[in-house]
Amino acid sequence: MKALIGSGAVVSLAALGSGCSGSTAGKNILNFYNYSDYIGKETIPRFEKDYNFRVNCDYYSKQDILYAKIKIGVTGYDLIVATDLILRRFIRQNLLIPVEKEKIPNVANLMSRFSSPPYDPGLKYSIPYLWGSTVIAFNKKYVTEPVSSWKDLWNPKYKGKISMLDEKREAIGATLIMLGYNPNSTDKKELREAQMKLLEQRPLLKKYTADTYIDELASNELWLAQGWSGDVIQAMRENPDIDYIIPEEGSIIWVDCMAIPTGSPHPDSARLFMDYILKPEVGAELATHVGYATPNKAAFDYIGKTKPEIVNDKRIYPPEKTLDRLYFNTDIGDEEKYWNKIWEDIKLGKS
Amino acid sequence: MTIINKIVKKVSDNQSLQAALMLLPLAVILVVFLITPMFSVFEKSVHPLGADFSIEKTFTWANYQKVFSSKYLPVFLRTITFALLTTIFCFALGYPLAYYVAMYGGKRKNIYLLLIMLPFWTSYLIRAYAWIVILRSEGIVNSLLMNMHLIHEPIRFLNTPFAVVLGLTYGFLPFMTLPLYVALEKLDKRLIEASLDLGASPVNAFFKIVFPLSLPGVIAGSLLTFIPAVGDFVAADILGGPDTMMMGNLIQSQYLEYFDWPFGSALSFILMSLMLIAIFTYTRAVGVEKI
Repeated sequence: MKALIGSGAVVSLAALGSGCSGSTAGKNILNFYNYSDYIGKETIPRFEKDYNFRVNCDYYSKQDILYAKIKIGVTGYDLIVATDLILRRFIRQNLLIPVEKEKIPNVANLMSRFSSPPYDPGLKYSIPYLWGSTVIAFNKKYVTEPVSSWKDLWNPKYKGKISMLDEKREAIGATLIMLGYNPNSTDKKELREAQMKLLEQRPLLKKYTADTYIDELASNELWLAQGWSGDVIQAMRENPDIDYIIPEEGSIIWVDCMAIPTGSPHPDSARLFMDYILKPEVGAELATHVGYATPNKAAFDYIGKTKPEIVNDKRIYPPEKTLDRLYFNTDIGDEEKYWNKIWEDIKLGKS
Repeated sequence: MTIINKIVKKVSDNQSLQAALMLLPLAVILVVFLITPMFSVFEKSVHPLGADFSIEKTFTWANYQKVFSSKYLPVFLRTITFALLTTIFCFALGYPLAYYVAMYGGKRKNIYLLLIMLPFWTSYLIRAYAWIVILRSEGIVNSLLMNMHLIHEPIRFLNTPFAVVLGLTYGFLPFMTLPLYVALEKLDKRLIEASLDLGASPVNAFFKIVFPLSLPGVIAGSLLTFIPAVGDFVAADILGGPDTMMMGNLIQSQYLEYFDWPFGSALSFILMSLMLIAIFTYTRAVGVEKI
């Protein structure tokens, strides 16, 4: 009961939300901070039942909010899901506890590509959760010409029906790729060029959004949108006219990772949960439910047995040739201030 | 005599100490919830943003200079315009509503009031989302207009200034209606009868008697609508487009997106000061003692 009182603040935050149970007596506690709608239907209930846990879930809608909360340090969270870019910053600023992967035997299930990723060599601070890429979603009913390039988001024919992600590293990053530059560029001339390009696109946009576009694609409000693969797959389930591509110039790849923030009251519960997520059937259910790709070889094989069409989808699990054109976002340190200035000017419509 | 008894005696003998003690809770509330946060915001606003988005110790006014750069002027003006329009529309809708309920509500007064309040038991965020469903190109309004053959192409309501002001107006309508209702409800109806007996036309009676007496409600209502509308960021975020950014959005992005807390604080502080000046001028002009 003592642990319960300690996490009272988190408990009250977590009152809403899917899959988090209500009964508490005599159970272990895990305080989990995750993206909204970013978990399997069975993930939490099964964990609570099998391990006699109570999981308190809290959700964020933007990585920035996660970053701000963890940076301030008053959280009480045991486990967070953070994208590789934010994770690099957390590691640099000593905001995480090592995951001690020898305590997580199922780590052996990971694909070799993810066992020592560039953002966290040797997986000292994180365990991959899901991964995916940034794509262009389009509505086949209204967009008649083939979509293949980032340039298609600049088509004046679809004025007012286009959206870009409200995340500077995605919107500016994709524009840099389109212009033939590296999406992690800190070259002022290149960034300036990207700014001009985005200002040119601005009058064509319905809005910048990183969350509502799923719904708006599904309801034919948006016909062309920059989006994240799994989100788009969710929209496709509701509207069969939606399709998506990885642009030919290349795109951004990201890995969402589980990590333990400093000050976590129950780090070993977090490690147990990580091990649980890495079980083949758990990882498979999680990935198929939210539509993103699993970094887990065992889960991948598990999905292959029941839903081969998913593992054979070259957009979810791209071949080597495509993967070579997908960039990780890197931590650009204080150069981010210049990115911020450019992004703010774009949002304000200033050149 | 115990110590407690001594203290009680001392307090009951000393009247000014009593008064001070009675004001203490108010003073504590003001210090904890108003002065401390305002000071903390101001304190952050006079330092530059350092390496790794930390706040440096050195002193600067640069953040305030940046607030007044021409870049942000359109956002300021847009915010004031949206908030004023919201106040005007709330008044135009709220006054007849409050008037009807107060004058002709009869036994059903409480039901009407409940109906005004009812939507506000749902989160503001969800009510803003609801407008998306109503206004979108395949939404209720557009389908209706298309079916009636009044239009051939769906009208773009969403992601426009219109949608934002609509969302704000809907969001803050009860803040206008309820103070107006209170003012109209306690108005002495015999005054209206007297004016009519003495030959005033109903229009005359309204403008000479009812409206002036409801002014406290108008003032309170317009302040309660205008102030939150200026600070709002939800409506512009959900119903707006690329060209509807308000001060609330700008400040929010400084804190959460750009991690520029000093500049965000400077913006907040200026916005607060402008609001204080506006409210002060307004209440001086119309007379705050009427509220």
